[in-house]
Amino acid sequence: MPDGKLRAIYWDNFTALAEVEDILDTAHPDYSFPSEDEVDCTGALHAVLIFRDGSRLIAHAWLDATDEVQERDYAYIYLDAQGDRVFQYDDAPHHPELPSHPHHVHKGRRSVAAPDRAWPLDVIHVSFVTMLDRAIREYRRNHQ
Amino acid sequence: MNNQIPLFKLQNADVPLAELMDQFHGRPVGFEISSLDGIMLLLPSEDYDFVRSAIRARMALPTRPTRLPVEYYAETVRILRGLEQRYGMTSADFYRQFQEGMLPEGPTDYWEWRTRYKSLLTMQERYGFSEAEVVHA
Repeated sequence: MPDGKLRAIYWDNFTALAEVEDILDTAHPDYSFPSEDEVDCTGALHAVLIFRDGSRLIAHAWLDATDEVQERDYAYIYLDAQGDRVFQYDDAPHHPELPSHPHHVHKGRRSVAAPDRAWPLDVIHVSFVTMLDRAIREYRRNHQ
Repeated sequence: MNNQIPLFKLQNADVPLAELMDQFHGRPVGFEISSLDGIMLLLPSEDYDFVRSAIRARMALPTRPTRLPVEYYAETVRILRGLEQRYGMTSADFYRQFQEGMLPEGPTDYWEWRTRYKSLLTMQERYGFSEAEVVHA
């Protein structure tokens, strides 16, 4: 049964999001963030964060609460206002050649013709907070 | 932050704050004060900061509506069935094939699919839900 670990993670995530409220477009119809009860009940985080420039961060993560909460089977996809991918972090086991396997990152627009190249993880670990921070850095870099 | 803050009833709201602080040595504790129809929390400063942040977040940001567990389960089943019909395979088969690298990282639906499937298994284990719950939700 739930023991509060997922709720604690939820509030870490939600308060981190509130810190950047000024660059979020929460009135956008696609903006979506779960309630505390949803995360605690489903053991997963599904969110679409819309930024004021029209870019968006799509999050899907299963929260393994067996021990210390770990995000698994996740994907964090940041798209620019035109819908082109800026980055994507995921842990699909499709790149065993990478030292950070299964965790990896895709950068830039997804190529239709060529294989979707992956790079080793460039953050210590993937979580909602670290991915939000990555998206914000991209956002701020484009709005200096 | 401590998720289990004990709550004590204070019959007399005139108890000096210093006395309470001495008694609990900065541990998180709540006092229900019936004469004031309120609750007073005694928190370490870092927990107080967190509570302030949480209240601010709650006031500033919208979230999806809260539902009953069985409703979340039914919604998950509905989403999975839609994906199963679209791609012509069961969620269990999809998950196994994806995790074995037999399916490409391709469609964006795949990311939601595998997380929703793990969520389904989590809810089945945690709450004992089955397909019958979907019919009654």
